[in-house]
Amino acid sequence: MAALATRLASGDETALHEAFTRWSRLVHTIARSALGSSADADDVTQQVFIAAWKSRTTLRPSDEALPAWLLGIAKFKITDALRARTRTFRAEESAKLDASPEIITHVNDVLDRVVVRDALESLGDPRGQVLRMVFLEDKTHDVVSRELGIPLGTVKSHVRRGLEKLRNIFEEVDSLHA
Amino acid sequence: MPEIYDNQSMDDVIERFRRSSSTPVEWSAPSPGMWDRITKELAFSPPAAPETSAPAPQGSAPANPGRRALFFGAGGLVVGAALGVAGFRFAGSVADVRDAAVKRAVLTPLDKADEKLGIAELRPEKVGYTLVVDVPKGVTHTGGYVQVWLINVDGKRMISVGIFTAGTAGDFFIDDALIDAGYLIVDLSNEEFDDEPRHSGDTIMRGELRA
Repeated sequence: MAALATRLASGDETALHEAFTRWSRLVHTIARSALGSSADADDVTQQVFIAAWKSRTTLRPSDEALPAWLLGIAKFKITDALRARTRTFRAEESAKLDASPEIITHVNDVLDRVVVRDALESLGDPRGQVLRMVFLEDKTHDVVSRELGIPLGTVKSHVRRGLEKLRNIFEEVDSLHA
Repeated sequence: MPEIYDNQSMDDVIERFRRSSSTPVEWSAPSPGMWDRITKELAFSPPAAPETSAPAPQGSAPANPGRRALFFGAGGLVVGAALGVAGFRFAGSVADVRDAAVKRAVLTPLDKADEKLGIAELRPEKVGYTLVVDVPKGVTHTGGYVQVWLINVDGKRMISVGIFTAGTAGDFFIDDALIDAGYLIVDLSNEEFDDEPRHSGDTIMRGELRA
């Protein structure tokens, strides 16, 4: 991951392509969920990767930085698109409007939903499954241990480490610059 | 009886997790051709004929020479050949701060277990691991790309960990949950630019990570 960020920052075009291959679906899904339109999501996705390339020298190479950096750009482009929609319905189009609280909340909700779904999938099984069963299906650790056929201690460990991962992800999402 | 979590902030994490999981998420992908539009708008460099020995093109030239350019012209084989494996490592990876490998896999074609094409090493980091994949003679897929997967030892599940762009070496971040859960078989496959996220079935080489 650090190698990819370094390559992108230094102008390696294949690095942008790799970033696109890995994260364009994530960006598109967030955009489509926030804007409600695949066509608008296409526009935003294209803008995000073009903006990423143009501002590549601002990317600091570090292990976790690259996807967060891309999501920061995506958040900005999506918020902008939502503000533009609001503007066309107002008389004073020249006024520079800040993103309304509703827009900000909406974008943050969408980010959380998609990023959490992505995190669960990347945790794989059984850790993602354990998190789902304990917190979304409200099953006790005992029940989960029996149903999955894994020791109780392992269930607890998956819960603890899974929550730590989610906490890290939420901290990253909260620190996205938009 | 509900489980009790001591840490106050974990309650917040749990609450936020529940809230953000209440509506299902449907994955979507950009419309086909978006990457082409991006390369056109950014005027990415056209293909340069590689001087070193490149693998012979499979079949006729691809309909879109722009795509092949991304591997041979803009930093794939040509750059790899110029820097060599060691050069690639030092040109930006975390080679100097790694611990020794805890697991290692020898990568061979599926039908030739004695033909060693590469090595994969799992090295612990502060968080998770780095999977270091080394293919000294290089591997690329004309008209497409090479993808790296971890397959679970149960043979039923797999996960993509990244793209093998440079052709000779690559570093991939691996969450420790994946190793704990048994995703230990490293697989490199030929993939097409088709927005189809699943494994093509065309494995180039594979090996299991062992201590």
